[in-house]
Amino acid sequence: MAVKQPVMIKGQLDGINITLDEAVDFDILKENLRKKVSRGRKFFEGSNSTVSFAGREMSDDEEQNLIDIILEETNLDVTFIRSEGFTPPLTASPSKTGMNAYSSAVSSVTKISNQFPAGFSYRESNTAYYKGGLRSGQTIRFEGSVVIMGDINPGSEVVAGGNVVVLGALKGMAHAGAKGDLQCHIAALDLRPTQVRIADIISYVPAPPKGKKVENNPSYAYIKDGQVFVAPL
Amino acid sequence: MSEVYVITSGKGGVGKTTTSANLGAGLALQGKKVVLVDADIGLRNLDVVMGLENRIVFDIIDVIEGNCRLKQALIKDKRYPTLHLLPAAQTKDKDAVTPEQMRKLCDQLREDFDYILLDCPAGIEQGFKNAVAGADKAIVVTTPEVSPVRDADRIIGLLEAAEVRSPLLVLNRIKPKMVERGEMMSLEEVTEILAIDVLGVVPDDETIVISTNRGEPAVADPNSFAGQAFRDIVRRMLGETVPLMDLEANTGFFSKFKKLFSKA
Repeated sequence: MAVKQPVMIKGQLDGINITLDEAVDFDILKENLRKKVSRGRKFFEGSNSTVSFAGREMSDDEEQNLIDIILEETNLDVTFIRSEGFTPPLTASPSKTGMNAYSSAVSSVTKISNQFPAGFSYRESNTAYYKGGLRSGQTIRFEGSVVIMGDINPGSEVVAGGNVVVLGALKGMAHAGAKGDLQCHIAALDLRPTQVRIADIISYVPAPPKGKKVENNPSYAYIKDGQVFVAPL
Repeated sequence: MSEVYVITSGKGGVGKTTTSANLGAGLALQGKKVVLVDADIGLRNLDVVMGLENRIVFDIIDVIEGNCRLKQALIKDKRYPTLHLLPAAQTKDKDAVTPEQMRKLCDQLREDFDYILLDCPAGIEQGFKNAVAGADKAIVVTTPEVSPVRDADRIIGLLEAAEVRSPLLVLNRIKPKMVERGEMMSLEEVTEILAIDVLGVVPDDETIVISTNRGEPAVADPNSFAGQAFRDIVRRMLGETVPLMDLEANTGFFSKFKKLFSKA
């Protein structure tokens, strides 16, 4: 039988999976991880990725410890941290182990009390329509899908249980599937949000390279294999 | 022993947030553990100036209301390993916090950080009261104009009333040429009115606009004139004796270059 390694790193379509041995002391594990990632620096070079852990229950602090090691040793831009076997809780408060800051942030939105700026116009079935833009500090929260005809400025938030569709520029924060539905999407005529959240997954769009003109192609963000993707409409 | 500074001015737009960002980054560059707290709830800016806006998940209100743990809300700045930001909430207002809660939060932060810098909102209302509640020391930022100096004077009075003793002055955005021509208040004229110790003088510098828009504090830019002023302030905060910049000798393009070379 082959000797089991305390830390195993596997690149997958949706990011990097790190399997940890449950029986090994955490400090040894940390050293092992450090050695591995520093040796495999090339492997991690400049990618933008999801990291997931498996094989061991960890506290938030322990998990943060490991993420810090990866960030210190590589150029990897960790966009989201996942723990295996994690499903977003819909009602109960999230359990502590195997959760990270990000997912508990999002899944804490379990009940959405509707909130609209003045001038809210029309709501039908499970979709709300709003004509007008959102300025910094303004919020729309709705249990269903939201369609907004206007621009969403930085510093404003749209939180929807369903999809978010913006007929305008989305530059603020949008959260679709806030009750845990991974099938939801966020679409906009000009999609360059500060942050997008779908169900329990958070991602931010890196700033475009300096001097490069930003094109505003209509596009939408969706989840595939636990990661946020953006595609043209 | 950690120190809690409130960076305040009374008047808006004189450079509180820019000063906070630069001093925070500057102290972190010196290896100190620093947390920047944005106390301007409802009009948060510090995250934007630091270029960390897109990393906000939790904010100060979430911490105070117990929606998350303090550590979850602290954003680690990748460029400065010992620098953290506690962002303000944008969808709430100043009344969401009480001075008592702020004091508790600062005490909690003291356990982990050497320097806690509170970026105070403009005005003298609830937001100011909250920011001042947790502070031991104050940095008063003003520009050399009549009305900001008047407001700074009012603020110094209020700080004394709140028992934040001996505030320090940062005179921001001074234009040496205008001072020379007698068109702008000089440092001496300002200190004559305010009568507090001077922590530093920051020259008016166009590159600040660029660095602020990019979210990269000028203090880390060795070529920035204002950045140099902030680096000097940081050294003074750490207890060094650093003479005030000789502004007149450095106003020209050539002398700026000369200074660069003489340093190398």
